[in-house]
Amino acid sequence: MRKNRFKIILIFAAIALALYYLYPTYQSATYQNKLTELSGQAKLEDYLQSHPLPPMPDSSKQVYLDSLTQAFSADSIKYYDNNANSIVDARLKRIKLGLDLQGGMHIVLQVNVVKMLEDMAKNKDQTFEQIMQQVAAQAKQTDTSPLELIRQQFDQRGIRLSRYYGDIRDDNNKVMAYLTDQTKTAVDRAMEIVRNRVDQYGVSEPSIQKQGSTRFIVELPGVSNETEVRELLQGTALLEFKLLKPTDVVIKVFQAIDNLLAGKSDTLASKSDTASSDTTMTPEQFARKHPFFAIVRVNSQNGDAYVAENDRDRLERILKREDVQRVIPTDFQFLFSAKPQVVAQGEKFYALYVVKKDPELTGGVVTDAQAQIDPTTNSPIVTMKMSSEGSREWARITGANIGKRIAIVLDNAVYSAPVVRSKITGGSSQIEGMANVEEANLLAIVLRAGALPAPVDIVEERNVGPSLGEDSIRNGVTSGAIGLALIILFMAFYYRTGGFAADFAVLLNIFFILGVLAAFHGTLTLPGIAGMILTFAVAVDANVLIYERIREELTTGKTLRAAIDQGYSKAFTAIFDANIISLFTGAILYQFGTGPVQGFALTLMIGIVASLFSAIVITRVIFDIMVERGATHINFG
Amino acid sequence: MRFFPRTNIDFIGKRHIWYTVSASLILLGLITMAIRGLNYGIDFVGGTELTLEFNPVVHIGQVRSALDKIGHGDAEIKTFGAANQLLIRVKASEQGANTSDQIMSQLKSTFPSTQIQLLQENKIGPQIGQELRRDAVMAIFYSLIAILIYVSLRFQFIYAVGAVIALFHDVLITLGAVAIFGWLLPWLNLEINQTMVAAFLTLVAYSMNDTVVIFDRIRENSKIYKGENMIRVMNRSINDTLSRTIITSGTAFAVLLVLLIFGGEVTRGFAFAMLIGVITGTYSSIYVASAIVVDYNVYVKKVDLRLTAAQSPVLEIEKRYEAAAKRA
Repeated sequence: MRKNRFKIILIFAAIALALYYLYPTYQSATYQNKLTELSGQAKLEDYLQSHPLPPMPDSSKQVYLDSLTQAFSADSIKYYDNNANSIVDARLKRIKLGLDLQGGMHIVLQVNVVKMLEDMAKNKDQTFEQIMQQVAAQAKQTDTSPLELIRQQFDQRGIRLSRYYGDIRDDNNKVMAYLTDQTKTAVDRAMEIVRNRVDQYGVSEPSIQKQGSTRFIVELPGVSNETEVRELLQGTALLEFKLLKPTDVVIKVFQAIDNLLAGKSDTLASKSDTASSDTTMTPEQFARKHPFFAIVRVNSQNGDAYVAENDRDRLERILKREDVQRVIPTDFQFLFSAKPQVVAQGEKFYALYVVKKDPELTGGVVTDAQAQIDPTTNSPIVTMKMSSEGSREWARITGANIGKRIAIVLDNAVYSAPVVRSKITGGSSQIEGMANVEEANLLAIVLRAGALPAPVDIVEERNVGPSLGEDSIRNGVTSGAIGLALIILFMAFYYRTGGFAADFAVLLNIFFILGVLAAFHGTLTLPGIAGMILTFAVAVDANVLIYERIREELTTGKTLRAAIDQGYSKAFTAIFDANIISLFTGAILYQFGTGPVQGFALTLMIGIVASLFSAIVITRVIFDIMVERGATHINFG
Repeated sequence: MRFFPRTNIDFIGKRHIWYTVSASLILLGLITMAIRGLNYGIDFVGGTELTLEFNPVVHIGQVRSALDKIGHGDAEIKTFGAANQLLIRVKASEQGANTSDQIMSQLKSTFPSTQIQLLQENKIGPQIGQELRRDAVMAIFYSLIAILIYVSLRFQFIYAVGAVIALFHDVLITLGAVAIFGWLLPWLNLEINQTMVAAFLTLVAYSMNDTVVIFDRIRENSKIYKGENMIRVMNRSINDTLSRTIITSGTAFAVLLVLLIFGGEVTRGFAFAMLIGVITGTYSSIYVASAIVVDYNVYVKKVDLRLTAAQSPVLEIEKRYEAAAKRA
């Protein structure tokens, strides 16, 4: 027992860790079931079983069904609200299913840099157009960046880049640095815009990742409307300038909503009932008395409103309610800040802006925007230039609203809401109040982003419908279960006691693989399941090698203990060499594959390590303990 | 329980017969590939591919004529799994930004009373297809290099060469099988896509695994029987590991067969390639990897490995027990 103590501790630690990492997955599934059970859809179906649809024209049928669904959804929404933090937490930590299993869209977007560089050039002539044509053709063939290709073309012809870009006195390196920077900005800008739109679109757990220098991958689980998504990703961004509603009016509306939610009949707020005076109440009491102010925190000094990230959905649902809509003036619009602010405890808050619905001015008028450092105050500013037509409008708007705030809104997210200091004529404005240069840069990007900086092409699009995903899960689980059963039965039958030990190890192995997958935030794909099934066979192989060896040693007349010792040590080199090579191959596959194939490579690699552990350590400990307890014979079949 | 009592099979002696068998199989596959070509999936050629479910089932001919009207008459249309599931594929050169939308709306208007559900859609630009193809080739190339280096470090260089030739053999035979079965049994939907490449890399790993186990035993036995005839040692080693070889490949085969039958359309190509791979990977460890090491010694190093009349082609097992007893 003593010499195995370390190994036993190791095994239990591994099991405990696997449990720890798998618990959120279990928890998340439980929540999901509960929510489905409570959901309007499920109850609606029940209801329709006993209450057939009354006769009505087709056109009103959907409206009727929708209103029923909404009525039935109250329970699930309440359940969600009560457990929001823990549900979100479990979802984040659970094993994610790949798009091939849960359905959704995988899109690879590529910023057309060649087109952008073409647009950026000045003094374009025939030579330039020839060069660009060749570059466009070459770019399709190689991995070399379009910029590098352009430079090569220029060098071949002995032309300086400054003939078309930058200042005429600049040398090639300086122009290249400038263009490289511009390209990077363009890609970042496109990504920022797409991210913003995806956030607005309301997909749960979208992922946006950069791939190489000009591409990015957008993954949208559970989405299948490709036309809509395509428009969302490629359409023109909408930049608007909207006037903020005065704080006192806004607070009154907030109070009206609060009263309505708390069930008070009078919509007029009494002075003594404001949010700030209720300091002695517990949070629960406060939430009951002021349901709206529990979600929307209002800064009593300046009237700014904030909403915690977790409460955003809830607030949006409240604002959509018909009775709430009735107390909100029709020209009011509620918008959130594009980026949350992180407070000390790590909680994230979005600023809530209440603006006039009709924009004062829209996008296209901005001709340029740059982030700069104000030389006198040393703080970051953004300078914005407008077209002559825009400038006239802008002068009128700013002149009429001095002292008020104007929100800069891109695709319905507020990026900044500066105060108008004075009437701005001449079309050049200065925006202050950014916390740092990055924030200023982002705002400049947004202002320039009336349209995507360069055309964005969809180069790859994969869309898996939900029904195929369900089929795939069922197929994967069925074949996994049958395969596993076959192996377990065979091993127990062929190697008897040894087989049982191996079976036990294989079952633990599944546990370990899933645990590691959860710990690394891995994604389970259908090829990944295939990889796991294959791992069962690999896991068994190590045990087969060992047991065959033990059998051989036993036939030469060795004692049980000696045979086990020899069996494990002699089989080890073969097991080690064989599996190292499989690991190499898995790593290479992971490097070169995409999506589902990477999922396969990942489970395969985890599987190899886990099965080595279970085959070499776990079964060994079992036999050692048996021998120590006095067994003189273990049945290896 | 023991399926394989101690065997004394002369594997290596028969190697020249099996060389012919391997060569003919590879040739057959190559000829099929030359004539019929390989069926590349959308990952590698690019294009638009839609998998649709029709309720009730519609006839492929009707779908084709509907697509013909919008200029996609030469689209590839085939059933995918069930009879009411169709896969429609348009080549990259003919796809536009909205090809899939056009096809969907055309089908919906042609079959107004049929419920059409989108199961899957893939749209791959030609450039991406090219890159994925290059990545796949690179992945296989790098893994072969990694194997060559590792095996030369752990064994001798000629063993690494034998192992890598065996891998080429396995890949070629499996490719050939994919071509032949893809042609004879079109409903298997065998095509070269990313998952298939994953299958090829996995079968490379599997075959290597099997080869290393035998090489490891040869290494061990060569130490025990220093100066013994190499053919006899190899035969002994292959016989020693035969039981394990058959059990492991048997379980892998069974599991893959389950996957082929129950795994559904998406993993079918993978399971098929791996099934063939398990067979050829097991076989090539003996008749390619080990056999090449022997023939290198015979023909290049001119070692005389002919057996005397008194020697059996397989080293008698009792010798080892004597050796073991002596050491003890």
